[in-house]
Amino acid sequence: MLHLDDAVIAEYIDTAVISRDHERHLSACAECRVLVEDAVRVREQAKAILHRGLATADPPPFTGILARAGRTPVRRRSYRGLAWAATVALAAGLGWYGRALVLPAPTPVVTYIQVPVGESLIVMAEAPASEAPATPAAPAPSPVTMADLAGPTTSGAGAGTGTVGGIERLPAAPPPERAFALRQAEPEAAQRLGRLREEQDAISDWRAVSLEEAQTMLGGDLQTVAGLQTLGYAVRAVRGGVEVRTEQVLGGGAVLELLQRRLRDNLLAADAVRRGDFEVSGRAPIPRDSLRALLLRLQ
Amino acid sequence: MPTDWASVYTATWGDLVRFLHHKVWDADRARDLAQEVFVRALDEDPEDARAWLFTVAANLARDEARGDIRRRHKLELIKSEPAPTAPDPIEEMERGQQLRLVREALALLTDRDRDVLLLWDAGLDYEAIAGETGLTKGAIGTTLSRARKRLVEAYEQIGGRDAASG
Repeated sequence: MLHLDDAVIAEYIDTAVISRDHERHLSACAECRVLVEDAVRVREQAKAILHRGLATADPPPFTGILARAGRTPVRRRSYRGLAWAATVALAAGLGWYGRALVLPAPTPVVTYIQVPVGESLIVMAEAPASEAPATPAAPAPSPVTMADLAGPTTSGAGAGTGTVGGIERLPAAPPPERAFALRQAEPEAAQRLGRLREEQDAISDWRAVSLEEAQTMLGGDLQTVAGLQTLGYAVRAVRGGVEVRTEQVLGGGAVLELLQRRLRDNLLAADAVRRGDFEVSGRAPIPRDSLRALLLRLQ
Repeated sequence: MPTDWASVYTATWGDLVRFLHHKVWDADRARDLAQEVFVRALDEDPEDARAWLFTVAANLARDEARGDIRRRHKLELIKSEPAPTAPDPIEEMERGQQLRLVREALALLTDRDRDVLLLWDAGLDYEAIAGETGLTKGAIGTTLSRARKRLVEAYEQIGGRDAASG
């Protein structure tokens, strides 16, 4: 009998189906058994390749699919079982809203939202319900500027603030009574604060440029993370030269911002890496260690 | 007896997303289309659920390649988690490189070999693969054997080339 062909071997290893004649041949033919072993090995390799690089994610809830298909996943008897709970919830809700008729109005909630307006930072203040006295109601809060955050000044209005490059100088640290307010600030506000600190250095806005322009203005090669898609480049003037911003895609919608500028006085910022005569720092919504690892891949 | 779609969904989701990913090369689109496949399946309630799902998936992927679906309507993605955390960038980069190798290796196969290979990887039996591709059941083994060998060779060749180029 002739040796087993690829079709027979493939069907045998995939479905365990084999004719009696082929089975007899296989038991007597060492050469065909080697072919079968090879085919199994190739099959497993192919399977592994096809699974490579694919993220595993749990499926979304099936109820979502049902809803999208216009089916209702909840059986009617479930509502009956919960009818008493709905009644209690309704009564509690009515009671909660009804309290406003008999109790004085609570003091507004304190959240501090820092909003850059023009070239200065404005902090909108309101008082938190848990911290506020029950009575009497406090007057409506007024906007507080960064000058207020810096506390009482000793040398007249504007002292302690000043301007650099047209941007208001930020205080070194807020007074204690304001520290709580800053802790309560929304995360975006903290980010804006950090960015404003950086802006102190800038003396122009970002301007989109090509790679060639960016490198010419920088006076050296631009550093990027190999393997990441680059979205674009922008340049701005800073004290002592120019700074180039490169945006690269990290996946999952996240963007890595690389900021490269020539070293000043041979001093390297704490979160930057040195590449020749330049320092490069990065910003991305990822853990600090991961960002650091990425920066070490710059080339 | 009606199909237990919740069970089919759980058992098939991973294979279906992988199959679609290898067709559209976009993880989000693959998940989106997989959901659309199940939505259509619930409307049709076909007898051979698994084979039907992959037939529809292949058609949707084909339409996707032509841009038909995107133009007709934007499919609503049902999120499995409220807000996925940002993936590790190093892992993402390596994953992207691996996917690129797989994609390039698959591109070196003929359309027929690639279709048969992906359907086999999705867990379809020879009969279902034959039904989907129009090949005879007897030809599936030969095609599959050839496709697997070519994929492995192409992947090693491309991987070796990349390693050599540094």
